Amino acid sequence: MATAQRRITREYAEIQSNQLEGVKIAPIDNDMFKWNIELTGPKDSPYAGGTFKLFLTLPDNYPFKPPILSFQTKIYHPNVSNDDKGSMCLGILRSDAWKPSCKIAAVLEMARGLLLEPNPDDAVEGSIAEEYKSRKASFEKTAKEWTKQYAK
Amino acid sequence: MPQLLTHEALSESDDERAQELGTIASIFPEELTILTFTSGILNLAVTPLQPLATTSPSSGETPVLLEHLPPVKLQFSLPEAYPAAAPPTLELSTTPAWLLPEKLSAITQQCLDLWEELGHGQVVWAIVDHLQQCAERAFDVAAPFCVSDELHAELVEFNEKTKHEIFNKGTYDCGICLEPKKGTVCHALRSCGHVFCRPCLRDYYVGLIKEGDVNSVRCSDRSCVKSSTRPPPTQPPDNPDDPEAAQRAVALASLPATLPPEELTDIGVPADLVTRYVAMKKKKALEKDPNTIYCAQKWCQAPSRASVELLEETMKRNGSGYWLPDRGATPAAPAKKPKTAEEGQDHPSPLREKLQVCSVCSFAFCRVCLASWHGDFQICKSIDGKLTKEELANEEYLRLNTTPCPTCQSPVIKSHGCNHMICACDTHFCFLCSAYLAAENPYVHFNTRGTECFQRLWEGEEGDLENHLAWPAEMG
Repeated sequence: MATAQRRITREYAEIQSNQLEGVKIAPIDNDMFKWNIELTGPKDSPYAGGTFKLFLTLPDNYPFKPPILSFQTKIYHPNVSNDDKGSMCLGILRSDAWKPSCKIAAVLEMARGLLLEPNPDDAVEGSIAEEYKSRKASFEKTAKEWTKQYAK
Repeated sequence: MPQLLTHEALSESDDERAQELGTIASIFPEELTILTFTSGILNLAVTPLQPLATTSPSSGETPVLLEHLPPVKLQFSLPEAYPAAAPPTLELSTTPAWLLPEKLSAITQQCLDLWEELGHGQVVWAIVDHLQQCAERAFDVAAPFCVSDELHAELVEFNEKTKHEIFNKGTYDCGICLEPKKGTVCHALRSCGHVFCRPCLRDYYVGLIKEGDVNSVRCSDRSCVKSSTRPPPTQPPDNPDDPEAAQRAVALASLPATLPPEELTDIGVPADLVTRYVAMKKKKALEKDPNTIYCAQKWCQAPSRASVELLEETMKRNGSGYWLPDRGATPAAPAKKPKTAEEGQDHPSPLREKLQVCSVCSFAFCRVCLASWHGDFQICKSIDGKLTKEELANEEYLRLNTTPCPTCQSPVIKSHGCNHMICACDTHFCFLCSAYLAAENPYVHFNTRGTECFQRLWEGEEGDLENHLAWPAEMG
């Protein structure tokens, strides 16, 4: 726990001194194990103009176990579950693929990268993935609408 | 009156020779041992720009690349007449003596020539510079450098020791705690060289082994894909028609190796967890192998001894532990594919033996019918009712040519002679009808009117030889 806290504090300081594009972080209270995250929708994506709130939870035995990332803001995306959990499917966050040397900054950058370029082959929402692949215009329309409606 | 032999003292001396020595001493404070005002010993590290490939008669085919060689010791003194009228006296040596005396005297001569070239001036620095340049080229020793086994061992040990010392002096950013750590508490992973601090690695691996995730006991670096220092197998897989196998081989080669148990011990993983790691890796390797035979006792289900032994043999042959790239039946050993096992009637394998013994509970059972062991000749049916061609043929042969002993059920074949049989279990019986015969008067069976075997004692006297020879043609 102490080890985890030290590492998290260090990572927080690193991100503070080296801001990530389109990503805002704010640990909740003094508890460094839970962070509020804000992602701004990338310019060339249907999520442009939106601000997405996420919740980052770091396990007690971080970095040996991966962080958990969930969308608080509803989003129309093949890799984010369309339920109240808003779980994000990110390869490196699977516990069998996680490596302790992976940092929160990299996780957040990848999450934002996924907004720019969804990965329909590793989707949690099959029907959205299908739409993304075969009817992109229709996908983008709904994604834009949801962004307008939920991500203000 | 002893004077402190510091480089300051030397530099302040009126003697030009002492001043020269003082300059050298200030450049090489650690390497130079000052003997007198005009003499000293300089130990020059030998770290060639290209590691020196070294072999010995029994070191195997692959040469060891030495990054560090034992230092060259230069003992020198500057005589009265130096530098104008006399050259310095020089003596070069190495411990152990890895540079041949001829080589050393040739280099010594080069150094003396420098004195001539410099017009009899101060030459010590030029000599040191020359030696350092020679050292960078490993003194032009022809590679591979072939030495005796004894010297080879010493050189390898020196190389390792020096690498270790240099590593310990460094500071590394541990990728897990993200803190800078001294080399003495760090560990460079053997397969890829990535450095982490030992406490972090220990905690990481202890956690993985406790959870049973032994296949993740690899380098913790995010982008590490080095497989091992071993080159990937160069020969193509046995079945070039199977592009999948080739792909699998490539995928496996790009996985970082799981750690060998000795390395876990070095990192500080407790012995009981290292044991658990080895056992689980072995179990996983056996589970991956479709040919593994498991104990027929429902409560046991451990792999059979033959399966375990075969796995160990394969691992030994491949020169890898269960921990080098994670695989059970490896691409280098496609002989263990299920297809081969089905067709593999020509080459005997311990897994083809009917008798299998459990590696844990020692239960002896039949591989085919899974019943407890019934001897080699009992005809039994596989639990799924399928018999291989070989087993069918065997069954047919036993049916046509043998008579079971009424006591032990062993099928008995008659090569020649009468129909009074004595089994290996000492039972006397009739070869025609399997009836028990009294040992004291076995022939009464063949002499009793009205019985099936009356007067048939010598029937089939020629034995089954004829049958035996005819059989393959019939089966053909």
